[in-house]
Amino acid sequence: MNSNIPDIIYKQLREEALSPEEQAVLARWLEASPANRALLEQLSNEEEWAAYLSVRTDAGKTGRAYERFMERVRTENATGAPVRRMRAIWKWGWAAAAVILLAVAGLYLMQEKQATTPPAVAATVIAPGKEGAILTLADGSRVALDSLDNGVIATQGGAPILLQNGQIVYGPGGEAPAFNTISTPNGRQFRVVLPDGTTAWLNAASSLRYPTLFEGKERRVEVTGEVYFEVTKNAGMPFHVNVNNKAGIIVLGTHFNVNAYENERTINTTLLEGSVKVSESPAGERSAILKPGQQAQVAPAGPEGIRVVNNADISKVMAWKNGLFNFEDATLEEAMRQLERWYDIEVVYERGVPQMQLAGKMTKGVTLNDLMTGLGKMGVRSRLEGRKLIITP
Amino acid sequence: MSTSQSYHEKDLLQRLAEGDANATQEFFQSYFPRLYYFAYKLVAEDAEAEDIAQESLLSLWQRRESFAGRTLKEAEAFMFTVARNRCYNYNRDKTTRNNKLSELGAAMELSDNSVEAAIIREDIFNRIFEEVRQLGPNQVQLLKMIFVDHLETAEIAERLQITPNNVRNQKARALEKLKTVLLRKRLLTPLILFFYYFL
Repeated sequence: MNSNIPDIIYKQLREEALSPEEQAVLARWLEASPANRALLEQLSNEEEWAAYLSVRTDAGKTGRAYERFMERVRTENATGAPVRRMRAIWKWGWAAAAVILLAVAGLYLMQEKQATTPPAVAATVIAPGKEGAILTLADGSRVALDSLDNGVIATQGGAPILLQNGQIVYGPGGEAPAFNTISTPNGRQFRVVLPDGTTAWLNAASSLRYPTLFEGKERRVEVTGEVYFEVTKNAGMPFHVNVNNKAGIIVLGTHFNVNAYENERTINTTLLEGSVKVSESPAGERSAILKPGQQAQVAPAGPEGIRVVNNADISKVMAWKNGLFNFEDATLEEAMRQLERWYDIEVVYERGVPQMQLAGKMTKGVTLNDLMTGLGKMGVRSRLEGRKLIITP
Repeated sequence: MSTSQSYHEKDLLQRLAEGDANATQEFFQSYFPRLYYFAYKLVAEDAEAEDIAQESLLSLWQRRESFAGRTLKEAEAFMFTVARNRCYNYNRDKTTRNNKLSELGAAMELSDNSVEAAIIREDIFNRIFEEVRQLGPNQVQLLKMIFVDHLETAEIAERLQITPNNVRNQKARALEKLKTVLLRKRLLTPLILFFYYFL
């Protein structure tokens, strides 16, 4: 880089006289690349300047960033010798390590970061969601799991909780199991490995409450939103899922998906492998036993009880976990509710909801802007205002 | 740059090395927005840009002892180099992901030209910002209301609980000192409109 260039440009912007030599340097620089010519234009552009000024004067954003920075600094100070700490955990043994949370492996398309606030700079680009979650401890304190590096992230009953390369490890705590909750906001998904080896994938805007140790005759967890389970077989200790306090699922060992978003019409349990019993309430009065490929639909408010659908579209149900949107036969509203959760946006219909059926699959790893370009080809017209997606007729 | 300021600079890095909490905060608040803006222009993603700015500051913080006694320019060059490298890596990985997975995501590798341009852009805008900051915190607020919030004189007066005349005076004072055309143009606009109004 020519180190004179910024000085010369700044002079030019202040309308100070340039020496013939400076003029020649500037001319050469402008000729060198179109990027340079565009830059000079942008430096006189009021919107570009306004975006910069907005970043420099955003005390709130900088303040929050500073808090996060200080957390990192404290973590660094606390974990001066990570290797020795790891050995200490090995001594306790992994059996004592109650819960292991794993960042979603292989979902590398999710690595794109999500914009938590409308970026102030340039045109709004809404990035896709990514992995991340919030861990709520027994005492109600909360730990964000997507902005931390290795180290002690919290303590529970005197025992440290360590984050090591994407895994959360609990040290030996009290005698009784503590209840923890892992939850994902809009724009995040996460994977949890429970103490019995059961793996749960949480879609965006979902939660899972579980004990840090399973004891007694049953394994009991509570979910909201959408969660896919691969339950470890243990015939002597059935796995009970309380869904929104509105439906119950009892399993011995199996793979199934629960979609229980409050803004969807029914709570859908779809079975991929094994066998599950779905009941209309957590207590389990009216119930149905599912075979693989079947979906149980429970309408929480309705009188119709449980409806069992044969040959459910498994690839559509599981698309979210596989990093896809599957809009096959979906109504526009269904599709838009998925976008709201994944991109953390609000969808507004300018003139009613256009009646249309969508088709096709798309990766969830793209920005909302690119996705809407794709949907535009299907005839869905829209525009973006901040984090509001407006569907136009 | 004045002598007292370079004294302050050395002092700031010295205090950072000593673990002075105020120095850490001052340092972070000066550089975070600059690094964030720079990274945002290259990666176009809010959270990623913030991560990159955080990492760059943390890299310097980890080396704070070796930067004691050096100049802020050197510290700044170090952090922008860290940020630039992370932006390169991020865009390279993103391009790979997009090629594999999506026809929609437009693949774009960062060219040297666009990175150089981003560095110059931040540098120049920083100088303009410093120009405004020399005038005092009130003038920074005033310019923010004009450029970012697009407020008219009457609205600014209401927010700041001062008279519209006071606002006009402050604008005039800013105009006296500010030399960058971009800033002057906007400050002049209302005066021109005012003029036409009475034509």
